Amino acid sequence: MPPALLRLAAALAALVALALVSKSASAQYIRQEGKHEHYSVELEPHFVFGWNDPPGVGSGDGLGVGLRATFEIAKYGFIKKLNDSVGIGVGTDLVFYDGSGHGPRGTCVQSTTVRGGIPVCIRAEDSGDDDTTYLWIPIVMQWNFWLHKRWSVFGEPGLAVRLDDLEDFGLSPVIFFAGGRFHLSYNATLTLRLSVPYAPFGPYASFGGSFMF
Amino acid sequence: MRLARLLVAFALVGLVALPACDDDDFCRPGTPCDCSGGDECYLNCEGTGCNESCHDLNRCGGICGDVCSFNCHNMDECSTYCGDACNASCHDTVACGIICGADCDYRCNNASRCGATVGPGSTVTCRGLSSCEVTCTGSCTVDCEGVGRCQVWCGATDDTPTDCTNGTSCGC
Repeated sequence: MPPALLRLAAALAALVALALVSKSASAQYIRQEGKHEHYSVELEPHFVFGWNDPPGVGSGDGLGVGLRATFEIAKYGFIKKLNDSVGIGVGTDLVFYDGSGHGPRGTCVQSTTVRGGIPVCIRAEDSGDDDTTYLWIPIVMQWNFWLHKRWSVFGEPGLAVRLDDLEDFGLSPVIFFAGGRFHLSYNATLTLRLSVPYAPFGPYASFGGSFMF
Repeated sequence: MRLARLLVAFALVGLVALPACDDDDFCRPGTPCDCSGGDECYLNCEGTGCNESCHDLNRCGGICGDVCSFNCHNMDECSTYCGDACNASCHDTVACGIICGADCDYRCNNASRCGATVGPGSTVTCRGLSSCEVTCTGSCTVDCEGVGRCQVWCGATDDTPTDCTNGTSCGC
């Protein structure tokens, strides 16, 4: 199994373990609608890891930092008699991708010949060094499930605006994150997030803390 | 009602993001731009002072403006298209080709074929080739050594090339 898949599998396993922890207590907690602490905004600084090519022109593994702000817009979520809630999350991630060495290579779109019949390309598109820096701006709906007073998980469908290599705008119209929190206190957590924005368009994970106000 | 409110809120936020065009040219003046491995690579750098290179692939092309440098080696086919005062080299390659503006300096070493169209004041140096064929659009110097056939045309319409095969430095 490729290392990237192993890392993904390990991270998913951690999430599943996180979700299953303290099953009986969770069963009680998750059924108490609105049981969790209300908050106006959750601020989450984090580190970002990408282990494959991002969408657009970049390539290679990524490493960066980011901040997510999630505003709780509904303490009571979509499902009655369930301790779920909904927020709107907006963030920014600055990620450096190291390039695969097989990135934007350019295409010759017009050529001519010189003496000896040797072709000379006189116009090319999409060329360049493949080290890139991306600015991601994810905009998501965060659907939370408060499993336990110490644990919560969430899914985040949405989209992401990108500034590829800090130069060209791009759009990832469909992204999805799944994540979980370990609550250190009523307003401080450790948060792990995995994404599918980025897969099939390129995988991504973030790990950081969050503070709820 | 609650669901509708949530969906409307999410849609409004989503409208912030609108798609924009993609323009993916990445080679920039002053920053080395290198490409290696694989099948082919065509580098494009606009502006003055670009620095491009490529090696160890099948085909490569470098396009750049004035006062740029482009080096390519170890491939089948390498082409250069540059403006004035560019400095380019091609070696250990099957075919090397260049079109450049005035005052360019082109070196072609250890290849099978080399073809060039160069502007006024340019210098072409050929070493260890089967053929070196140069068209000068103005004054130029062509220096051939260890070349099977070295010919220089003075202008695109010149029908009688000068033979520079015997190690002589000639030109237009």
